[in-house]
Amino acid sequence: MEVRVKRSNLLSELIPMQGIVERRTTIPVLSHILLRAENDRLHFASTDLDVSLTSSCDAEVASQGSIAVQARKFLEIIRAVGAEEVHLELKEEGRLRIEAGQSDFKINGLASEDFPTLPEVPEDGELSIPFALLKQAIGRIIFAVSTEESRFQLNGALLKLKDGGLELVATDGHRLALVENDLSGATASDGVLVPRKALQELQRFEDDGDLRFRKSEHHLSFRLGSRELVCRILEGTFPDYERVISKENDKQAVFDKQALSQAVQRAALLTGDRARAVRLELTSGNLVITAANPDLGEATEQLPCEYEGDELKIGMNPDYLVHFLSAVDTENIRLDLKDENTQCIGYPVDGSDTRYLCVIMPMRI
Amino acid sequence: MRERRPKVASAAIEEAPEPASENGLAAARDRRILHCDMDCFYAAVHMRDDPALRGKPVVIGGTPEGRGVVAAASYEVRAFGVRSAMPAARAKRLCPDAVFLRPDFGRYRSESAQIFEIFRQFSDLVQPVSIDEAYLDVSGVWRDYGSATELAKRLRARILEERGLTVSVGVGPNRLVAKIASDHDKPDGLTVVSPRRVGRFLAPLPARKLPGVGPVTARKLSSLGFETIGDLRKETRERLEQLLGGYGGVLYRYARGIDERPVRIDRVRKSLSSETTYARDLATEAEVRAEVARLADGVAASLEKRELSAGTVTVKVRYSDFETVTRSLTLSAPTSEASVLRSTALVLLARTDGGRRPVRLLGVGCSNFMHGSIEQLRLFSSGT
Repeated sequence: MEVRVKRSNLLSELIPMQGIVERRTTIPVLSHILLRAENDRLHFASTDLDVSLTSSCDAEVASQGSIAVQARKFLEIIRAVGAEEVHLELKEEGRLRIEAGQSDFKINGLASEDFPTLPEVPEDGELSIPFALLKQAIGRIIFAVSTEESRFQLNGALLKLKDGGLELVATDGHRLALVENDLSGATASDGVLVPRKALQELQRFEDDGDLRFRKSEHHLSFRLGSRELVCRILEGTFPDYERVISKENDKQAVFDKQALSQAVQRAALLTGDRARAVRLELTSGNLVITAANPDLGEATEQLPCEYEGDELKIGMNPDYLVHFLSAVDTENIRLDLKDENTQCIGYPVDGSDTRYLCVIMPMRI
Repeated sequence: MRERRPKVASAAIEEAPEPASENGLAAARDRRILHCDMDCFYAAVHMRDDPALRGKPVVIGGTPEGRGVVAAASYEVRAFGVRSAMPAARAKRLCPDAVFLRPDFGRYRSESAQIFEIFRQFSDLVQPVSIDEAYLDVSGVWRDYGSATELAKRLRARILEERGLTVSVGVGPNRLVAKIASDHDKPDGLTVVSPRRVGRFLAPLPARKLPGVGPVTARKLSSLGFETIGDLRKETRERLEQLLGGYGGVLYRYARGIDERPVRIDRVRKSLSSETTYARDLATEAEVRAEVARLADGVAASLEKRELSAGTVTVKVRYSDFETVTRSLTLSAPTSEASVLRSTALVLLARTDGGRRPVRLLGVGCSNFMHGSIEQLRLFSSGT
């Protein structure tokens, strides 16, 4: 393998690869990326066995070939060298020579045969999704994906195609976020669970084109330009989420999103690390947010709002509310409530016709 | 060992020393502690409120079709061998006619609050042990009733009259003796052990009645010829320490009925755990997983009883070569739910070699408590 490649091209492919490679792995090859020179392209691959990423960039290929190199070290070297062009050459002893300007490095690599074979997803049944739409949808739900390993079936989001629509749902058992967008060409099918890591890496893609989505029995493929992310479908049963989107919440309050978010964050300064709870008290046209901590003291925040129902008190984890408010892009939001034991449902007000909501289970104080 | 025994046989006639006679403190001679333990509390509440259940075998806990465990069993069903923390499905097999009821912790809590209200009318020093169990220090007040026995009788009568429930009470010069005494004539019993009778009361009882003597220690003691508390009293402190380590010294004192732990009202629990040492090492992953799940359920039941939620779960594994490892995980929200504790404990177990290496001890614990009054509610009732 011998190849000449622009340093900037190399960098823009190497950086996204870092999110995939495992930092602490017991299998050395998983901290490596696979480089392969072929047909005037330099190809890249990284995997943690569940999520893998492949891409390529233009290169002058003098001779074909491949090698796996330590992802982090390779990136550090390419970042550090000054020249605009990098010359890569595979030496016999399984080492990669990197020449750039006055720099000349030889780094140890692993044979490409040691690199895991990546799953391939057949091209039939491909669906086109505007990437901007998917990226925005992920941003609106990813905060609700559970990070608790013991709830493996909640360690991802449900991606469900509907006739002419795409739905993404995430929950950690305490709150749930759901977004549904129009998507021409989509036909209803069973939902699949996309692991959190795949969602995070997809968010980092940069392009404004269309993303091509495919699925096989065990894998999903997301391809954008020369980049393809393939992930294993998370096994498990996603809870029956439509059931918790209560339609009986008859008390509605509308808030200035920014003002509510700031008030909640201020009150939350006086909650403890463990008992993260603020109390919301709604009376006609007014919201009082209080927090109390025996070690610290008490906080009270007042906020005008549009509300005309009976007095209502409800306890809530302030982080859950703030996460939702940060994901909304409208000026106002609405909270639909019933009582202190029933989930609260937040909606953006006057947004696009996208369906977006966040269900938050209260805290009993 | 054998030649050492007769040397200390004189200890057998030594009565529990009364601190009062030793240091002349009248207050210590007047010390009287009650241990009050409601009889079969959860089941009794249901049976009181629903006459149709009286005299029937009643099991409180998970459904026998599911994976839940028995939280409480009436005396009628205990006769069939049903015990707390046993899988509900097994209870059903042992006693097919049992009535299975889901626990109603809200009801137990409010009942408990009313019972503790009565306790507090007898003493300001009430130390709750759990929802249905407490120590009362009545040292300063028992003379008003003539005797501690009379006080205990009145307390039992009031609980029966006002709450329609029975409580077993043990009276002793300290917590240790009171606790053993309350169990002596359960249910609906009253056992009074005066300071002078402590030695005679404890001597014939099996060693496992002493706190800290679990099945494994009991077996070890038995193999060394110690069956009763009286047997233990014949041994020197040095010998017990040699056999049992630091606990030997505690046992030496307990066997003599000595316990100076005060009744505290402000006890703050920092952690709670359940551990078992196995007589035979656990060798298969299935065995180890099943045990960890069982221990986690036990911890969940203890949390529920104490109205606590735990933020951190810990699993302890001791391999057959005595190497011991612990793994901990902090949850996103404190919980007392068995399903969450169980699945978290199993995730932690997977981070050990338990199951791949033989295991002699397993423990599941939790810490980082939050009092149950602040609780994050769940969206999905299944515990998902």
